[in-house]
Amino acid sequence: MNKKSKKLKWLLYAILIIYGLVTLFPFSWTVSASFKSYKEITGGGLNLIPKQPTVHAFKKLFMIDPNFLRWIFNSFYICTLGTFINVFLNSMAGYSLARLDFKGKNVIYYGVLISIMVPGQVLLIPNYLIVKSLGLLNSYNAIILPAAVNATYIIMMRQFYINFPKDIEEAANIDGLGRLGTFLRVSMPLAKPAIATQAVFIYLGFWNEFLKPKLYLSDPSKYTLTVGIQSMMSRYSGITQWDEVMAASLISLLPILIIYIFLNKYFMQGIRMDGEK
Amino acid sequence: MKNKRKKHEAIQGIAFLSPAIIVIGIFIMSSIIFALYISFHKVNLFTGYYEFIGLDNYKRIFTDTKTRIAFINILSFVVVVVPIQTIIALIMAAVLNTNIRGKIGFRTIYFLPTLTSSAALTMIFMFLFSLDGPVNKLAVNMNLLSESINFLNNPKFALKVIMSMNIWSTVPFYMTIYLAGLQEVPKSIYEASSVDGANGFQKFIHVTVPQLKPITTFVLLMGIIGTFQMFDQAYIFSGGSGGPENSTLTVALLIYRNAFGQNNTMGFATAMSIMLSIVVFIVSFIAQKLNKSDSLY
Amino acid sequence: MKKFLSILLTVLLSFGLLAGCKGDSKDNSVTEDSTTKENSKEDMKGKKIVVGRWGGNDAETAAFNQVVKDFTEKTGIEVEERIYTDYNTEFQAELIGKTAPDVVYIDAYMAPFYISQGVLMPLDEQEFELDKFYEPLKNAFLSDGKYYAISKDYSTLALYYNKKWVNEDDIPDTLEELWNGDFLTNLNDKLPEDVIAMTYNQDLARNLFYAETDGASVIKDDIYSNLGDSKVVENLEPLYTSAKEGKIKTPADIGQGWNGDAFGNEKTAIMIEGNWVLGHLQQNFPDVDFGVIEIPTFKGNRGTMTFTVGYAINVSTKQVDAAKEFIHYATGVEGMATWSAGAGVLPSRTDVTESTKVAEDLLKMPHIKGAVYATVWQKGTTMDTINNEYKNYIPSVVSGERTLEDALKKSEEEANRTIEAN
Repeated sequence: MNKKSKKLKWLLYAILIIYGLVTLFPFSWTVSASFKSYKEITGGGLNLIPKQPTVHAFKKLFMIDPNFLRWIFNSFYICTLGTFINVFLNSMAGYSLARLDFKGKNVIYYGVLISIMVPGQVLLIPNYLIVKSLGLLNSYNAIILPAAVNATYIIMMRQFYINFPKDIEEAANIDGLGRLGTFLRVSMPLAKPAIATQAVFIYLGFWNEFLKPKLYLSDPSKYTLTVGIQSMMSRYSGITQWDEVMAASLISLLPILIIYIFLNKYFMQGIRMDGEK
Repeated sequence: MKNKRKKHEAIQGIAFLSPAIIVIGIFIMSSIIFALYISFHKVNLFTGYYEFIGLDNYKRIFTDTKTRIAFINILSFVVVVVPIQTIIALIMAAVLNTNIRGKIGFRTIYFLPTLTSSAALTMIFMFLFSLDGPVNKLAVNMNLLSESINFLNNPKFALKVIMSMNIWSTVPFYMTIYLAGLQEVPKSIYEASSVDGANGFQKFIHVTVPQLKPITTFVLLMGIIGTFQMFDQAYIFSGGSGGPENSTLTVALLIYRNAFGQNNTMGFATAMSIMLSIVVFIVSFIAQKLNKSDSLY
Repeated sequence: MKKFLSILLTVLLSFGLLAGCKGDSKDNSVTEDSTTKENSKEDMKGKKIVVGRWGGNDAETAAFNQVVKDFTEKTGIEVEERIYTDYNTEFQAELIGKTAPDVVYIDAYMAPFYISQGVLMPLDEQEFELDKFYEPLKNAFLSDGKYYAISKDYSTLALYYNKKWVNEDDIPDTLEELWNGDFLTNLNDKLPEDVIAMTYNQDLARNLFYAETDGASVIKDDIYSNLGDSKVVENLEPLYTSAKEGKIKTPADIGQGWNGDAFGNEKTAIMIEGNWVLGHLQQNFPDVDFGVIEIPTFKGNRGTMTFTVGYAINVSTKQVDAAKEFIHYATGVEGMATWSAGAGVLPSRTDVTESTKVAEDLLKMPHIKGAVYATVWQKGTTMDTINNEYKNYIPSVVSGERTLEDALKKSEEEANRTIEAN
């Protein structure tokens, strides 16, 4: 390795580390804040190590409502099921839009695109009326069904499959697999990075979804974790109990961080079109 | 024979899409159609009062100064944020895809902003940029500023602070997408260009960027749609007023204000939403065309 | 054939997955529906009402549960609560979907809006003993001679000072003197570098009572902004002169979320805040030694703001009697005493103020005194627009880019354009 490229490498690391600090700092601050007292959080210190560490906020959160454990279960149930359904349906739809040829395909593509262009604020009430008229209120279906597909990731999968090498599929077709078989056994597994990415963000989306579950579920035992914690902490007079908010956000982000780390190996497992797998 | 095959493919195509069509049709398209209907009316949803007023709600968009300011603000927001977030995301993804040490660690760290709650983030930023906050102190100490600036209360800076916050929090999403996209780029192409004597930068420009075009289309589309609808951060920063001097007034904020709260002007709010969607559509269409070839094959 | 099978499989798969999650939820919503709709005339027992409210601190939650428990024991009516986080959005969606609770919190500020939409049921003055309530609180829900909600408690603003730095006797008796005299300047000199003398807010919810002193009004013709009126400008001048000179700052200026945090963290020596800050200070900043007094007079008048929330009945409720019974109890002598003592809030009834001896609390007393002369934060249905434009243009006054008159005129113009178009 020559000197120039070595220097370049150091520059690269410098950039990586600086950018890393920029992303790491606010996050670490949030984590450390959840172990601080309210006074210390709002006092304006940017210190990452709490002066007097306390688990007060966590204790309060766990005692906030007898339904707490139930909420965790609900969240996992809704998120896991919702993500599972989404990954299949979005990938199928994206695949179809990218690889199959039929009339009206472009209309459907633009339809999907338009469905995310209209700001949600004005759709909230129509959505509520639809969910109500289908008799879904106060059931998990009210959360899962309307979000069973996600236009964003349909488009994403379309963009991924556009680039996908045709020859592998054709080979599979010759081997006698039908379209669905090819899709399930060849196209899906080969798009692992895209699917892992999709899964993480869909999970995150379900997990953090707030207003809709709040609106659709009136029975507190059906709340998801986010909804439960937020509604128990809500204060109309505008006082935010920061220590509890920080602790709550730590609790709610941990599962996703774990999933992300767990899926990490799939992010880098692509199709190597030169045969090397 | 060929016709039959085509027909088959069409049936398959529709079948693969049908769950998506059903869900989007029932839950989103019907809501949009309802919104479209409302936008031509003066409505009171509480009493079920509808009065057809034709294009009046739309005409108001063009005569209302507030709406014009909001559209200008959000356009400038999009023009700044989308290119920056796309470029940072692309570069960071490309760097993370090379053979550097601690890849997984960096990748996890860069993902963290996605997990930081927006309430906490806003609090940190408001503190960082406050009158006696670290940003001001640093800038004054380094003689970049002669005296502290009230970033949050100054029409010249308020939107810029929100821009930086927005970029910070959206880059990880697009970076992760790009990273996934990079896994699809065949190694052989890189190897071939290595043989031709291309250095890292040249490979990035001549291989990575063109190969990732379809993904860039996606990143641009989502970036445009997302930033045009920016709401939370502006709302929290200005306490819902869009101030100071309308500098953080966004279209979504105006829509919210007209749809809920004391104003019962749902018709106008929906007309504004439809208008915004049309603008988003046009801008994304142009972006998509500028990014040109969608398909590599 | 194979392809047909594969399509069939796809469809089945997708439906199967969707159906997989049905199961447990259906029956619950059905039973809930039938119980709320059920309406037997003879007895209240076994009836069930839904009460919509927003969450408060632990003390408030406990006090509410106590009131509900006592009420159910007494009447046999069951109460289910629904907690709002984004109150206006959620409640409005429910009203439109006809799923709103039977009894619901109504903020006085939003009351004119909901009343004008015809979604609240008028309540009888005698039945709910409104003569026992403080006049401003009772009238907060008055429209065309009818009352639409019964105040459950209230808050007023008072002046808080940190005893470490401020001596009560030194605080000027008038706001003019406080803002424009030497007191704050001297105090600023004495304070540590990162502490300021006083915080203030650029919000009509806090500024309205002095903006409207001496017969001035921020609203003309019932709906239009009148902020540019010379009297209003004159009334706001002392505050913003002080702010322009840097004697007083907003909490955001010093990197704090609100007055309560700035005061608790000892970044400011004086603030004007509502009594909700009492619990906040005691819970989160127990070491701060502070005192509370009434707000100094302005142009010779005592003034403060009051904020109140009442219980109202959803006009489309099927449980009118049970709903009335609940409000009757919760805002009656017994229920209100339980609620206000438990939650640490101020009772809206004069007789409960006396019976609970809440006025003996030296920290609460200045707030209670304000109940009689306070201006209610409730000004028709256009206040949102007017206040938004106020908040929008005031910062440029403090930065010196506009004169106060110019900014207020501008905010009036913009607000009225919006109001006119609606």
